[in-house]
Amino acid sequence: MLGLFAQEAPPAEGPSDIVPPPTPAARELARSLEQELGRLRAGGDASAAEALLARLADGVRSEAVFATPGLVGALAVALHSAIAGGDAALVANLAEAAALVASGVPGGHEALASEAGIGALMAVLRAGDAAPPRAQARAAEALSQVALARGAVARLAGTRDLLHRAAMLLCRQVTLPCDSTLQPPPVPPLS
Amino acid sequence: MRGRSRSEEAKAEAALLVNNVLALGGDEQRLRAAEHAALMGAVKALLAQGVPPQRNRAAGILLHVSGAGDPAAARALRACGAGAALEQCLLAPQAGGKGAAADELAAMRVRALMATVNMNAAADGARAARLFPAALSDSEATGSLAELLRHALAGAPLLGVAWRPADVLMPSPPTPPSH
Repeated sequence: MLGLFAQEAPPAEGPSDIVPPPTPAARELARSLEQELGRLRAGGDASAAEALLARLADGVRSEAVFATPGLVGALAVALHSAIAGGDAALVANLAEAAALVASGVPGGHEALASEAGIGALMAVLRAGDAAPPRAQARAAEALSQVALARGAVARLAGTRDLLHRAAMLLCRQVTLPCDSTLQPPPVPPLS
Repeated sequence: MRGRSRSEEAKAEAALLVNNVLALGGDEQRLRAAEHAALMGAVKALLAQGVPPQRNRAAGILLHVSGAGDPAAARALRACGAGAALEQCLLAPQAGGKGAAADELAAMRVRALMATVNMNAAADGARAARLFPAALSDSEATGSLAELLRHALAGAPLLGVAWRPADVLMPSPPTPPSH
């Protein structure tokens, strides 16, 4: 079945995942960003997260960054930590970074299709008030790109509550009895 | 999409996420979506009331669900009133105009039309004759299907969407006869 949107690869040929190898400079920038992510702490200096986001955005614009497993792993850990710490602003900035990685960085959606990446993005969707609408929008955007990675849909489906969480977002400000009718299925932990 | 509230943006992205998962996730995901009453309710609301990109994505979701090979998905889709929502969308006067919003609405109509065709194809013969007569007998609908098929045969995207001839000619597997 076709009918995908512009951001998507046609499924008839299968998701496209041919990614050029990273340049040494792109790897170095990813490593540097990974280290900065590791230093971010919930409730810490909000400007540090914004600066990191700006550096990442610059890297994406100039195609000078590559989504290494280390960068994505650090992003996932930082997201979980920010959610656990209830730092809504940090969650939003990190979700924004994830969306940038998913849609603008070579290999980004493939790298984020790991269990850690999907788990962190799903955690944003499940976070309730700890994740403001901007964070949820960016997490959904990132996941929509992750879905295009080879084998990712099965992993996404394995979270079981994906459609439920998406429905919760869709129900916002629409007059539907979301809270009373939506019964989320049990969510198995992501190891 | 500039100027929309964050919640509106989240809705558009969530709709894209659901669309992509259903496009690539196979019948299991499509059936799960069809049977998720709140999701289908939200999608219908988005189709009727959303801004153009949201409406387009909502039509995409219904298109994918309507293409499920599992008859249970077709039954769930009919039961939730998706057909009426699609028909209402198709019979509404076209906004016209040019630009991104007009393209989104035009693409939405094509998707809604194919979803309606799929629903018709998935129904049994007697029921199919009664489903969506107004939406499908409209001359614009016939013209749109012909244009869609022309593009599919030529391998040319229509409004940014690449269709295969089989998607237009055999949109949905026939429903097994019920005894």
